[in-house]
Amino acid sequence: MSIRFLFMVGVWLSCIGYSRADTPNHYAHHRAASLEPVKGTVVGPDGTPISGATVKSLSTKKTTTTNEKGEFTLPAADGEKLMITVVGYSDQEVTVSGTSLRVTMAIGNSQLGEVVVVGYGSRTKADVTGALTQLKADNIRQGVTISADNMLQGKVSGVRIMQSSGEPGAGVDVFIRGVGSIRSGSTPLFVVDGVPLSNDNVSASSPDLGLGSTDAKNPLNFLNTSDIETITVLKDASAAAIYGARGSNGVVLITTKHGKKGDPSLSYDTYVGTSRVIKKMDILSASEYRKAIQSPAFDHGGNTDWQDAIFRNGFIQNHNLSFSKNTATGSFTASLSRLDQNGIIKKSDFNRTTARLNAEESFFDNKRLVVKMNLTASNIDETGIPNGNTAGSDGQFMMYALMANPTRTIFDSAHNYTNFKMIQLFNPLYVLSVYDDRTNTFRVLGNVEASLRLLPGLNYRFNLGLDKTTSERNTTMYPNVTDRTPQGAYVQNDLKSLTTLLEHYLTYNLSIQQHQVDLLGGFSYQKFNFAGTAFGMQNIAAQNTGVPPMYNPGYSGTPTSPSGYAQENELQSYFGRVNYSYDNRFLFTASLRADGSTRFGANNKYGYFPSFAAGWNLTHESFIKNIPAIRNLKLRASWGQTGNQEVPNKITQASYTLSAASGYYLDGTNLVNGVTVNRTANPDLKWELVEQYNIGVDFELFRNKLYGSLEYYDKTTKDPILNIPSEPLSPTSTVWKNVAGQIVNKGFEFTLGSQLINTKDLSWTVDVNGSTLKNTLKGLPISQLFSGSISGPGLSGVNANIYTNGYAAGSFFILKHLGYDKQGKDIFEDKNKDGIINADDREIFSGAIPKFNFGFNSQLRYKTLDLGVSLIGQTGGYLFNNTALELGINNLAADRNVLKKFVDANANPGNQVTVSSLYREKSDFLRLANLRLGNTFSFRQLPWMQSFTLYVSAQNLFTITNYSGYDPLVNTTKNVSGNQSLGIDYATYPAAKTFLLGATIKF
Amino acid sequence: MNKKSFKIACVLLIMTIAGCTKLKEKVIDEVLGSSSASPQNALASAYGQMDNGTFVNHAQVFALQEYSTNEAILPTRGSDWGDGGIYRAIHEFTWGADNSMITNTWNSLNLGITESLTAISSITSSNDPNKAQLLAEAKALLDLYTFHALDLFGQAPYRDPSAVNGQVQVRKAATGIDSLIKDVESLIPALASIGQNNTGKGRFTKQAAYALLADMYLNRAVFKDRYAATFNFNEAAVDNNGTDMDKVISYTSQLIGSGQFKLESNFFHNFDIDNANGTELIFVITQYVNTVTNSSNNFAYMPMERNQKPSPVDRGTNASCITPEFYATWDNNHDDPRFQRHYQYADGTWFMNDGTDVSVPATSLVAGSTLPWFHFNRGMQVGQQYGPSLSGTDYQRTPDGRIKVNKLYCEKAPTQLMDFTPALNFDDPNQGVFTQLEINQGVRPFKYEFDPAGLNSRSNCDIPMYRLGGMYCMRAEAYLRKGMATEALADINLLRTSRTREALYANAPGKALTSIDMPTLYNETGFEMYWEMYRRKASIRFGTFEAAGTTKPVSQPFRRIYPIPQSTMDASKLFQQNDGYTK
Repeated sequence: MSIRFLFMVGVWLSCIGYSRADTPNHYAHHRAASLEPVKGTVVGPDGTPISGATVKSLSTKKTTTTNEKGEFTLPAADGEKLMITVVGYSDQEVTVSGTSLRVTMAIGNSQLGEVVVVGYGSRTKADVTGALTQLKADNIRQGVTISADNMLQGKVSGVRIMQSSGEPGAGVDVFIRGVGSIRSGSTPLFVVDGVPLSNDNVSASSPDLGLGSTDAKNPLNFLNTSDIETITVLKDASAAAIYGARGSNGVVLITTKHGKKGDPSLSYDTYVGTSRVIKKMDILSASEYRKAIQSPAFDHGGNTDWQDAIFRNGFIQNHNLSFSKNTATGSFTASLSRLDQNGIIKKSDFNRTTARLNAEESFFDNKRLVVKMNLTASNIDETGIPNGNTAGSDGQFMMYALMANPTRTIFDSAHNYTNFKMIQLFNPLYVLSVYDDRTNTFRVLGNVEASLRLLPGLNYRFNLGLDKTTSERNTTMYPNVTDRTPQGAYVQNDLKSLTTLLEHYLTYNLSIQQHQVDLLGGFSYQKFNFAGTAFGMQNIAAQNTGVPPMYNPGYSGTPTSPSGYAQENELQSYFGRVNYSYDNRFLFTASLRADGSTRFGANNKYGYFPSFAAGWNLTHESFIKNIPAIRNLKLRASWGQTGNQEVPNKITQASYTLSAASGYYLDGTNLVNGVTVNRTANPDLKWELVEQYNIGVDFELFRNKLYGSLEYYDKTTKDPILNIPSEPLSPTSTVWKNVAGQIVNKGFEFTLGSQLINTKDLSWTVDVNGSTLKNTLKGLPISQLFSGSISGPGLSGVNANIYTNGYAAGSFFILKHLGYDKQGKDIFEDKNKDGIINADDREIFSGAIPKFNFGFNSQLRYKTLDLGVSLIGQTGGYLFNNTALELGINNLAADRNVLKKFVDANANPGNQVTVSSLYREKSDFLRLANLRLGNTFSFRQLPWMQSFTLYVSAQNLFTITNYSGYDPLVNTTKNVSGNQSLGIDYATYPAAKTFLLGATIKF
Repeated sequence: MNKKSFKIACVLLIMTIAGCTKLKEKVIDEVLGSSSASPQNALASAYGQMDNGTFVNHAQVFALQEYSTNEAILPTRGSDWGDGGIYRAIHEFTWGADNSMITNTWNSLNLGITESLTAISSITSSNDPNKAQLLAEAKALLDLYTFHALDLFGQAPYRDPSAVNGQVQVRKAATGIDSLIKDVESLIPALASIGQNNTGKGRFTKQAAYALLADMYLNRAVFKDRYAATFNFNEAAVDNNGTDMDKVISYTSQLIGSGQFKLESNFFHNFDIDNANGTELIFVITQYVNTVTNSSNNFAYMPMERNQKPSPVDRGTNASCITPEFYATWDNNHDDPRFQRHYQYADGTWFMNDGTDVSVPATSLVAGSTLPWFHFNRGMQVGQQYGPSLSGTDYQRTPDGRIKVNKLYCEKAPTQLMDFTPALNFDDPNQGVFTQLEINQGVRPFKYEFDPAGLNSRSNCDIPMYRLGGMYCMRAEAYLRKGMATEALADINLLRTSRTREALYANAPGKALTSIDMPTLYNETGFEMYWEMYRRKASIRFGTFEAAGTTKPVSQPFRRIYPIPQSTMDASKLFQQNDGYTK
């Protein structure tokens, strides 16, 4: 019976396939005789042939589709109008003239037929009920983007991307719909080709050799952005709840490119470019400094712009070669890339080599079994500079350069680096010369997916993934004349990370008349192993004598005590989803995920995360259908719960370790190790719960003259996990706990686009997106939590951020600066009117989260020329400019440089360093994020070359802002006891502006 | 059942089987549970907490006991030591419940209590042959930490160590002091004497117990009635055998009369980095410079200027100093051996620090290294300072290889001479804020020797918790409070005359006083006990705590204790906030 059944199914399917493939041609052939057939080619804006485009004569209604070379043949008379439509491009009307046509299609911004990637599957845009945005990576031409998260900048409403530093490959803070957690951990879940990535760092951490430790690099650096096909941001709970306990910060789904239909393709992309600092800080020049100082002793006779001294024009080159092929049963794509980027500060380099292979093949009758493999390997070599954010009483590299007296010289008369002979302020170039920091990170991400059709409509899918990283960092500070590790030290930090994934799921599709049901049910198991070691040497041999310790640590010096850690955690999940649509008008989605995590306490191992959504496609209602202006109109509403499990491992379990550090010399000479209690156990610990409502509307009006989406959401974090003071006589002074209290994020998001012009020769598309955000903390049982540790002398333990009820996360708690008196002395508001200005006079200021973020994108094409413009901006936010604080007027009296604006304001050098609203600045800005001009050449005489595109582009060309720091779009991670800081700008590696010349050649 | 259902069943089965992990978290880089800890380990951490910042870091107990008094101040010096005003608040009497030094001190003392309780449980359930003594030590440490918590905060948490999951209780100073006294007295028989059972001065011995009891009795009246205008020091003792002051005399006399301890003729030897052999030390926190324990160099590092460099890789930090009021108490007493002491190098060179120095030999080397060691003088550093300057990674040398001595300038105000003026001239007399060009001000007490082997942070110096000099101070005070001025004067004069000056001044002993009264005695305890966390309690007992002083207005009695930290008030409903502080 079953053989017969399968046979029947096979026959049935092949019939469908046959008829689908041939019908149009039959149709065409029968009626073609009377007219001269028109031949034509349909290509994309870059000249690539488009297959599968529908070509329809508007007068005769004759229809055909293009073949793999983009060619079509249709009987049509001169002057007849043809309509060409294809998914992903704007419809195009052309008039027949002659017998040969070349039709260039413009990319369409919104197409109902567009396939959108969702968790564990895909849907057409028309069927989507949740709030999500999908970007096609090819449409994002951003210039140098090392990592995928940067590509979202300004493209998706409700998503805010902030650099933690401008260093090549530096970490990025991604906030989707506000700040949902007080702890560090607002990073969304990234899923690459179906493999959810761990949010742990994958590059070895930096040791602190007296200059602070630097931030971790972006874990997404391993993925070559040219390999990315789509990036989908799941914003609301309905879309994200299928990822359960990891969905609350939003989910970003990334798919990599697979072979496209058509001939085998070979393409080569390259660009070369140069970058330099986005702007310089306005500090005093040598002559200005001479005028400003009261004591001639601070004039050292030189004339140095220390910013120029450390900055350079960074050279960038990128090469990317890919080839792919698509056959009737499968496809493959392979790519190789190499990126070399010199940072804009001397000695900071980033070099990446990636290789990727995606293959897919079908087996058995009618592609019953489809096996896919995705494999990415990347090797990153980086060199870093000693610029951490953990500075205490002194700066780090950037601050050394900014603070250095401009009347000093770089070199002394003996051609050695000038020794400033100061404590905590050194010649930055000297520091750079004795510091050597190299990191190698090798990461492989691979997965195998198999899909087996059990029955028509019923598929079993299997996904096995592996994500392995090893990273080694060799940091050396050679013996030097500073008081930072003066006798030299070497540290090697190693990191190993391994994530394995196993998933099984079943999907079932059923269509009966107007009812369409999609079911998904599955199981997922993911295990994360994370381990590292560190060892080092101190009192090492001087630089350029003997062997550098990274090659042979044993060559000189004495070993320091090694250390290490190894942790593992597991996540076991069950999930299910139902999509139901009636008559394409009413859409319903419900999903449930049960997530079990080892991170949670014995009493709360599993969390359950439901979601519901409904959509109403008004377009298909009779009262809308006949309104020609409305091509699409859909209302959506959703509710759901997601979780956040990004807490440290082991925090539910108490641990007692024996450690020498807490020991004592009981007999006066021999150290007896002491019992250290590392944590107070909390077996009740569970995930943070985020509940979210979303209502939205999607529309396409006036033949693409206006399309877009509007969304309103209310996202509330409940049971936030905090590291708070523990009850008296607990083994440790703090404990990780879910506390009562809520973090509410509410906002309105819009995306509006318009295809202003769309003709054969000229097309112009613009879109704007924007989002508002209101964040409030409510019901916290603790009166206040501090974060945003301020760096600089005399500022230890001083925090700028406060988390307290009734205010937004990222509020500042600082003195109010009212101006200067006649002597230039600071005047602060005496809030409690006790005649004394002290910590009791601090006030809460609205802070770090901008009220409005927006992006503007324009694509203009004239014949073969294309011009792209992207603007981004924000308003209504503030930064605490810690850099300005460290460059305060006080420096004039301390042989250090100062921000010009304080001198211009006649501030008194006797003013003490005080954290106040003087350093709170508006972070409003408008930035030309990207400008690109390209031309696509086609060489008819070179048939082997499909297209050749040449472009120039500029990134961050200008920024309009009143912010006095390097970059208003910055967030220095300076958490305090795990509570994240927001809106602190501590002299990080500044952002760059970049100019590129690039070419794309397709064969 | 058809094959279709069978297939689906198979797949479902696979999926079910796959879901088999129990999700029990495996901890592979730590040993969980306390079973591996021996009683010694538990006791070591209870002791270790004394060193873990609590009594050795300037920003914990030291800050609350010293910076709040008319002896010590940590002003803001230009760009340094603003730190959100936490240090100044303590001296200006504007501290609140969110002052991080108050919070850290409270947390440290609480952790000491917790670790002592853990040690008590661990020792109680063990079969250690020396169980009785170890248990007594753990209990004594509990009492020690609790005593300091009651002294500073008026309240302390407690849990009966014998009760499983016992409720946390609050002990209040007024009643708690008596329980502590009774408990420590009951522990004496089980405690070792110094030297017995491998115990040294770093352990809580019978002698430490006597000293602690003397301290507790001396302050009992204050604990009993914290906000009183005057204290009743002659209340009957806990055991009704004499008065509090009798007990102070009795316990201090046990130590003074035991013959085990002897006043150092070189007063500063008590605070040398090789003071482990000190004859005067009764109970210390044992420190080693080459260790992973805290072993802090803080008390020496804090008063030293940044351009004062005990070795080419070490420096001071230009922070705390004494107040003009305290300096004035030394008027006509600058020849007191405790005021200053010059250092003499091996070749006979004295470091004069008065502008006459040319060089000192470079033969003294930092322990375990080839770095030259410049020895600064000890005691009060007043006026223009001199010392070595760096040239590359070494000191500047004279042609004959000796360390060149220069007139020093402040590091962060390179044009400002390093002149440690007794006066503190603040622009705003209510705020201890110096501009960058005023950072030189203030007399610096170099009571503790700077350990150049510790890279500014660690030291070999054992930190005295109790020493014989302090016992004389306490006994003299008890005598005087009983009206026995002769005996009080004798004790104070013994302290004065037992110390001798350096050979430069012909080893002259200090001069005796001819009479004594309360204000004199208060100053005398200052000469002996400055920079040793003694001042606040003394100041409260002597009634000087509320008086106005440098940057300090007349204060209210509620400031005699600190507030319970806001973080603790948030975490628990256990404590009631102390009077006068925002509830």
